[in-house]
Amino acid sequence: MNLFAIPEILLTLLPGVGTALGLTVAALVLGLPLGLGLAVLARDPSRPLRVTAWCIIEFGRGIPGLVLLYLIYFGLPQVGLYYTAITSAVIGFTYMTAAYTSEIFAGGLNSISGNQKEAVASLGFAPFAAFRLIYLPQLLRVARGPLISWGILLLQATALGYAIAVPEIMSRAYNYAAITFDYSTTFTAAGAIYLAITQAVLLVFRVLLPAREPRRREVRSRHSGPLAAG
Amino acid sequence: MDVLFHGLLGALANTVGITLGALLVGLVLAVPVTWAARSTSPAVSGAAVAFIQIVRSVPVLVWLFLIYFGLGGGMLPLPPFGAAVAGLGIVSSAYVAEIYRSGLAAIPAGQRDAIHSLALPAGPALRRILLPQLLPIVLPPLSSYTIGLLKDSALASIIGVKDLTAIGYDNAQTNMNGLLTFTIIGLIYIGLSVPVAALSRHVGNKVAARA
Repeated sequence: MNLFAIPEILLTLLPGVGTALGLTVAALVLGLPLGLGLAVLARDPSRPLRVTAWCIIEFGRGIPGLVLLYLIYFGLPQVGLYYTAITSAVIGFTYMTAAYTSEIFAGGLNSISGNQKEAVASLGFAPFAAFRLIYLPQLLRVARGPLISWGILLLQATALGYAIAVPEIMSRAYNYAAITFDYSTTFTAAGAIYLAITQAVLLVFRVLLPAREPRRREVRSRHSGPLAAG
Repeated sequence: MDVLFHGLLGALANTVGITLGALLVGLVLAVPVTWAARSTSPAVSGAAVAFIQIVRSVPVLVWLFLIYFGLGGGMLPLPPFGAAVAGLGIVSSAYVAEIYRSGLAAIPAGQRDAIHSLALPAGPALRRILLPQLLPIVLPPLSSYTIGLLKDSALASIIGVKDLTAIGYDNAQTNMNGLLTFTIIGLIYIGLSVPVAALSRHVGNKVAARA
């Protein structure tokens, strides 16, 4: 361990933090709606659609992330799709996010009782309004914890970008260590960066954005309202 | 298959070997970690909880590099296979300790008093009372974790173990068919995870039926 090298190592790794966070956010922004879509598709009355959704989900969840990145980076050019390492990584992590979070969303959808569907229909809600105002808030309440866990797992998975030379934290760490031969200090610093980001994200969700209790609009009865006293 | 994939059988053995080896290390190391995390001394339990948090907050690849290049470069030279088993094993111990902890938390505290007041020896108490309750709780998360470990074992290819992923990589470089090669490799991983899930369900049912 060479403590004096730490400032230089941190400066070298810092741009990689931006790449890792950018990959994580991009995969979440693109992957979460796809995950929800897959979860809905997996419950479709049509059997071929259900089976297709199931195959997409199980393949994405069943294969190692590293193999998925190789499949995209080395496989897609064969069908004429040439992507840079970063784009390949975004595609891979988006697919992983969609496949893993579809299971989380499926659990949330299962927790919504079937009676609500009839209530929503009888109240004449438009499908999109019903989804946004009624289903989505309930879904997010159930899925919140697992989705935060997935976000953290995803941030750690971005280290796989090293294997296809995405210039994230681990690629930079390896390149630096290969020149200086100071492997233990460099990788300890890299580990400390991941640790700090993970704990910071957990802190943000626990302290700044704690889980809210379901918000209920107050329904005032005629007798308990402020006028009743007068 | 060896015709299609040069070195497939040896690679399969490496993947399964790393997964089982790391699982074994994790199952054993998790016992003292769990014990420490439940300790009444705040220093001991704090250290165990910090260990679990730190291990889980750092990517597996970082642990592998630290052990293989960091330790391996200096004080403790390890072959890639050994480094992979050690690295994945240490990471597993933190995750498995959490599984043990959740299992133990599900057992009512009054049972400990009951076991004491009946003067049951530790062996039979563990075998006849604790394990039949613990196994059905911990087996499902353990089997999911084992499947996760199988997938994480692919990282061993990065430090030079000739596992399924490495063989896929080598073959894709020569046959120029990455699409098919990595799809087949991916399907082999999925195929390997099916028996784990089935075994866990089978053992879980058996234990639940006997209890």
